[in-house]
Amino acid sequence: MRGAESSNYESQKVMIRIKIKVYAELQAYLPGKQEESVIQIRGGARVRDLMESLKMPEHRVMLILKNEKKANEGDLLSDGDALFFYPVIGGG
Amino acid sequence: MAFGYNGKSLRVNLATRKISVEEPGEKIYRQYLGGGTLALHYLLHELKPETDPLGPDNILIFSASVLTGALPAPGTNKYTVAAKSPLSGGLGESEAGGWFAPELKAAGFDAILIQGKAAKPVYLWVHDGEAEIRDASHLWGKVTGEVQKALKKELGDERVRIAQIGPAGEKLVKYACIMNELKHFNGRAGLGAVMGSKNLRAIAVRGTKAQEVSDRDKASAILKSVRESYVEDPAGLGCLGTARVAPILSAGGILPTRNFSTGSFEKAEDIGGKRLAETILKGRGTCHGCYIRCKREVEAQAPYQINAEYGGPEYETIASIGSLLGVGSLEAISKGNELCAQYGIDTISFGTTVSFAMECYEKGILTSRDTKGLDLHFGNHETMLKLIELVARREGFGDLLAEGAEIAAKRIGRGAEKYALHVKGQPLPMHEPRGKKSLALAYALSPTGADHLENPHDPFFEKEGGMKDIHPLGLLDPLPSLDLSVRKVRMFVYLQQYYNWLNSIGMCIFAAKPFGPFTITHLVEYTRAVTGWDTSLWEMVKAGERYANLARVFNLREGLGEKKDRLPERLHQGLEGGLLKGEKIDPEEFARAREMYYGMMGWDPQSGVPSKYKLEELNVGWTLPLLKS
Repeated sequence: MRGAESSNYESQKVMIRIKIKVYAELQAYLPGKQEESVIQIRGGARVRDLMESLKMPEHRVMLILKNEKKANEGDLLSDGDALFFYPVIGGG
Repeated sequence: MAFGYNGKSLRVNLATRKISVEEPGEKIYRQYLGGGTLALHYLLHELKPETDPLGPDNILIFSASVLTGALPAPGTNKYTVAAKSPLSGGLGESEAGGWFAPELKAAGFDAILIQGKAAKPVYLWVHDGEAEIRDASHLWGKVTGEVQKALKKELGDERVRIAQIGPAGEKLVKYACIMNELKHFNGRAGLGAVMGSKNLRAIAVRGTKAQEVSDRDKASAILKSVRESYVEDPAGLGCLGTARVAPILSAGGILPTRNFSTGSFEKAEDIGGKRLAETILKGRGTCHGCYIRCKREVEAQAPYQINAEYGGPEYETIASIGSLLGVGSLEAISKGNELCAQYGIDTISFGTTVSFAMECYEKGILTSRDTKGLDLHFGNHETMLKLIELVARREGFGDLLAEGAEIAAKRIGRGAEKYALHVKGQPLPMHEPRGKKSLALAYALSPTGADHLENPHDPFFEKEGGMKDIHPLGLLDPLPSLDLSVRKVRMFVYLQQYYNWLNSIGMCIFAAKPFGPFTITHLVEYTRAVTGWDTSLWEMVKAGERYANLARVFNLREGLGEKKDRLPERLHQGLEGGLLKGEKIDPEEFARAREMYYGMMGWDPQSGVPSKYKLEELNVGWTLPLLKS
């Protein structure tokens, strides 16, 4: 347990790179309102931390895929992960 | 004095050629508002039970609202067309935006009631308080673009607004539509066939009367506040259109694909709004008074010549003649959209009917002998395009498909029925109830059959932040999209009455929360300022509930009760692929939810018949004798 905490502490010192792609309305939250970007964030960050850093509100996100699998806000991020964010849409 | 509305309905009997004007009175407008609610006031008073939907005694109603065109305000331009539906045998109703309704109001009328059948093809010319029935023999059989040009020339005014059917309506295709200005559609419920059955090809309107507004300064101030709250998103509805959602739904496993067998389409990116904007988009269109400008106008020379005069495909069309048929060519879909507009066919019902036939073909229930040589494999877009013309003209295999999926399946037999995806005869629209489960209730319980616009869909309301828009309705707690508990039923009941209210005032869902800038509070305040009524959200939502009950009475009178509030069997089976593979609507959970819905509505929990107490509470006790007959 102590080892894990230590490792987690160490990992926060390094920055990891996350590839991001967003769809439709969520472009508003990427730098330069781009569709794709690479974001650096501290090691040990979770999907939620990344969304907060982008000021992307969770209620505007319908689906998150991490490396092509469904992900949640609480999932840990690793260097090189690819995240896809899809906005809430509903009818019409 | 009437504010926001004219206080006049135009009544036209095409058989006797008698034209008259009626004034329903303020209390009717205040309780019924317009749209489907006002239409039901007339239908329930005047339409006899068991009337043939395509016979001369059906009544076709065009109904604007107390807000339509009062001021140029986004979204307040819609109108309802209603009649008994040839698809369901129950209530037929469909809304369209565009330009027709504000022009009708400017011409001095809030509604038009069409009775009887003309002896030969005619059109109706309504202008500044007057109306006349004119010969349309020279227009019969022509595609819609030609008719619009000819009528504007004949009437000598380019600003005339024209609602019309196409050749499919003339041929009584069961899902023929009505359109205005070639690109705004009363698509659903087969109302184009009703209009065709009356030999009425078009209604042309022109008016110069400005509506009286009770407090113009207040109304303008509200509209200013609404405008200031709207920021155009470069990748949102306005810029990328409704079709931007196709790849998003596919990723989520809820893009109707290959006759609803799966929720993921491998070519979803190719048919989405972004790709459309990058390739064939010529310009953005809009409706009266709306700065959102979500409509598409597409143009192409190859592989198909596509004329922007007919607009461009909405999401519903992108899916219904795209992913649902396994078609991944945006150009073919856009050509199909143009052909459906030229002939006057509802793209949703057409797509769901063709997808039914394609699955039957793939499963060997239909062979090329049945289809008269047509290759109906999924993905064959040439067949899809060919079928539009065959259906519109009722030629060859198209004549069978012109009846809609339900009737076609019955005629084919051999187990075909389980592949016909419809509720009450109305083919399913392009949203997947297995991934957003309030839609199971919406599809089963909508009075017009499967309808995707009964309520804003579940994904909006999964998180606390998304609830803000609907707090005024007393809905506070978020719920997962896959939830179908009693709490979801309550949310559906409230949201359905909210949308019934929007339909009654002719308000586009894309201009109101949770999609657009009009908050619920804005809408109430705007209604107060325009009409001068000391009204409230309570009174407005009660009008929505009044609609739900009147529609229920209409259907019960025609024999459409609990047994028709069912889902196609496929929705009770697991999705075959995509992110939600295996997800289904559990039959027992659905039965409990439906019973809860009936009960919450004040209807008998088993039979779904409104109680006399509920009808009296809504001041529609006059409908009670209709239930007993």
